[in-house]
Amino acid sequence: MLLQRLVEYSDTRLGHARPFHREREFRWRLDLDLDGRPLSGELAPLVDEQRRNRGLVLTVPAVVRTVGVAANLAADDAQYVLGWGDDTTKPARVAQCHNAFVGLIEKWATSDDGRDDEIAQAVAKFYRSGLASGLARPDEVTSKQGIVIAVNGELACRSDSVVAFWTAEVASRKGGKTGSRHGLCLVCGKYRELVETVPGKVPGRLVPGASNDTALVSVNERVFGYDLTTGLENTPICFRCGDAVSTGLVAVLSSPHSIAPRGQNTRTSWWIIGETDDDPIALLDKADPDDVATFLATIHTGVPDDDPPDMEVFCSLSIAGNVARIMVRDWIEMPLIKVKRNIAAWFHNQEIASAWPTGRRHHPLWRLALATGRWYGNRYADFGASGEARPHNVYQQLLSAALRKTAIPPVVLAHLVNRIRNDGHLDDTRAALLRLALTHGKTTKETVMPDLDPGNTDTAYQAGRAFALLEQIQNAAGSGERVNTTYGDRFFGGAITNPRAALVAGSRNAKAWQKKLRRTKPGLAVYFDKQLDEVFALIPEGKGLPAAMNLRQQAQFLLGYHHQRGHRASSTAGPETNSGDTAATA
Amino acid sequence: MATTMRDEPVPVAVQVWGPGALFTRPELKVERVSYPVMTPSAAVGVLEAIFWKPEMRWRVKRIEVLRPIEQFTQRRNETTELASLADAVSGRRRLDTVAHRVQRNAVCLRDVAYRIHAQIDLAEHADKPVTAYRDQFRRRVAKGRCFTQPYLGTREFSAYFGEPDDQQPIKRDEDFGLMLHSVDHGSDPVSFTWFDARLRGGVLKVPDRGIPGRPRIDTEPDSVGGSEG
Repeated sequence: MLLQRLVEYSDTRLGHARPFHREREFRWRLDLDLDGRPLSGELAPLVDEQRRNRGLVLTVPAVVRTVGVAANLAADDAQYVLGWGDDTTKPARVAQCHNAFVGLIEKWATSDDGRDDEIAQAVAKFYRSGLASGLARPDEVTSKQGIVIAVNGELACRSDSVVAFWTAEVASRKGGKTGSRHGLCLVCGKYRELVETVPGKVPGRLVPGASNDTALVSVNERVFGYDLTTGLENTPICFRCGDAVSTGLVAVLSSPHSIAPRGQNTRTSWWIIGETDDDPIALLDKADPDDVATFLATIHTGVPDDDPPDMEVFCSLSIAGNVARIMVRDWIEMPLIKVKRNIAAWFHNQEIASAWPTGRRHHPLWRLALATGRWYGNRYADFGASGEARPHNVYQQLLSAALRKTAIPPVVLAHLVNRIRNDGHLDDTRAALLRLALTHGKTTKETVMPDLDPGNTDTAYQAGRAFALLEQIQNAAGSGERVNTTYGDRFFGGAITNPRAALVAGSRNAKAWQKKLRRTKPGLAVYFDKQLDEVFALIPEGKGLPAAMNLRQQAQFLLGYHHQRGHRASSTAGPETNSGDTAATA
Repeated sequence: MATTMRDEPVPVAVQVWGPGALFTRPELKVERVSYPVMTPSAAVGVLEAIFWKPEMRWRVKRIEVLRPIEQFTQRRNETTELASLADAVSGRRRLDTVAHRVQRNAVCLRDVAYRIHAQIDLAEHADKPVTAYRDQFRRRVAKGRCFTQPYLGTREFSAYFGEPDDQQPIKRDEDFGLMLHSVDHGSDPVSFTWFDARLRGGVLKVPDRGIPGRPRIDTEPDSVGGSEG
């Protein structure tokens, strides 16, 4: 239903759009009277008041042309309209272009549609009279600058007869060598004239990874077409729908509801069918604490998940470019209420205790994606930065998981754990992503708490807690003394995969740290003793600590570590005990 | 002798499943995107892989979707090099896949299962009652026998099959737009018929006849709906 939705978008939101018209910048206007005589001897300059040194952007008849000569109607380049070339053009080709333009005007004026159109007749008279060659050429005009023709102050391309004539002209050009076909359109389900190639392309700047202007629907190699055919011979789409698909797609991709983080290989755009101002992806992406709290408080309406009302439909399209082709990475069309419930689950599953008393419990999606990149000691590598070490599709993967309520791909968790080990850095955002990876979209009954879970019998989780406690004991015993290499610095990376060696060494050193702590802060020493005893009591005596942990255990270890640090920070807050977000790197 | 049985509907059913599937949408068939459910033409392919005779043809009546619809994407290196049939038969030509390599994306389906309900239509020259073909099909399904390994849309996704059980379809309603109903290889060029595909309660009903891609001169409908058989 993607194409249908794009046509619907074009019809309902761009209702004024004329078929086979595109926006284009024009620098000059040629003014004629109804007898086809120029109103002055020179062109009138067009300037956009809001964009200095730029021409006016007008919507004019236009179809895509690549290397061939193909004139547009009543508004085109200077080389087409007046046959003006420059240093970059070949005179023979300029003449070819101008002849094509004059020929098209003549065709328009003598057509059934244009015969009674005084504007078409005026433009045709201008070219028949040879007055075009007598126009003074401004020095600054180049062959590719746009010139639009006006008759009696009205743009000729807005004339009443243009739409019908231009549509028929495009149909004859795009209908293929054998002429246009009549058949069932896959999109609108009606019998109409069918295109051989979809008119209109999407600008390459809107499609990450594209090296040219791109097309969503095309078959340019025999092996991809049914029965070894190229073109849209076996993909019947009518002219109206083909144009509306292109128009709708460009409008969707260039709308404010579109995200393409730099360095990521996907652009995601979304819209809602229905009367609502809701913007679920903006909520996901920003996760403003007040907005999230309000959203979570109002989302549960009592309607069962299996049967959500479908009055409002959420649509989201994720695309990427492959040279001059658009590939669909994801297409979501589901009731808005279901998307909202999925987002509520997303926030529920990522809720995490902060290492700071005033920290956030929910994190924006862009921040979660950012946290999968390299940590530079005080910040994450930007999207698209050199050496960011971030998967090129992580943003889209997280967004898709949030909207569909599906599991985070295991590769994301593996990458994240690897980054934490290499960076030696675990903060709230990364902990939230770890919890998401363990809980979101999973059918397991295993619970992973957002806050410290003292009764958790998972050995890896308790090992993480023990590691954090040992780190805190050393920190507290040091009383602010600067240590070249802390316990965390030395053992954190290895402890993630093999906590046994790190905890055995830590337990041995803890005796000396506790001895020192008892002299200065005896109460704190007792607290740590008690905590360590509790944690080690939960690690089964016989099995002991695993010497090698799988991915899930590594994530559990990191969550235990994070929870213990957050718990310590909030329960006995103090400068000597709160080593902050970067404890392991301190 | 078979004439008395010829017009009586003889339903058969088979359950198919597999770890992946790709039922390519015709409008997105280069960087492929799958329909969310199995198409009737793919179902006919599965049935013919299990049992086919010149005396009969398959008519799919409905397809039940038994597992939740989930997607995954994959990118593959493919080749646009293609030898003609004559070259392939003679073996004279070698394909240069390296020089014609392209990368293509595909949005596929993960972990699918369907129950196909179909009917057997006999050809004029059939000399056995339709129940004979039905029973032969059932015996083959029960024993897991097939002429070629069935697949789910494309040959990369092999299908397993077995006798139908009582698993309930998923609870899902969705419209998929026009879907390919059947291909007429007898016309030149080949022609297609289509139907308006709608999933209701996890069941895709397939009309007996599709809407022709080319308008009929005598009756040219303005739009399509598909007549459910």
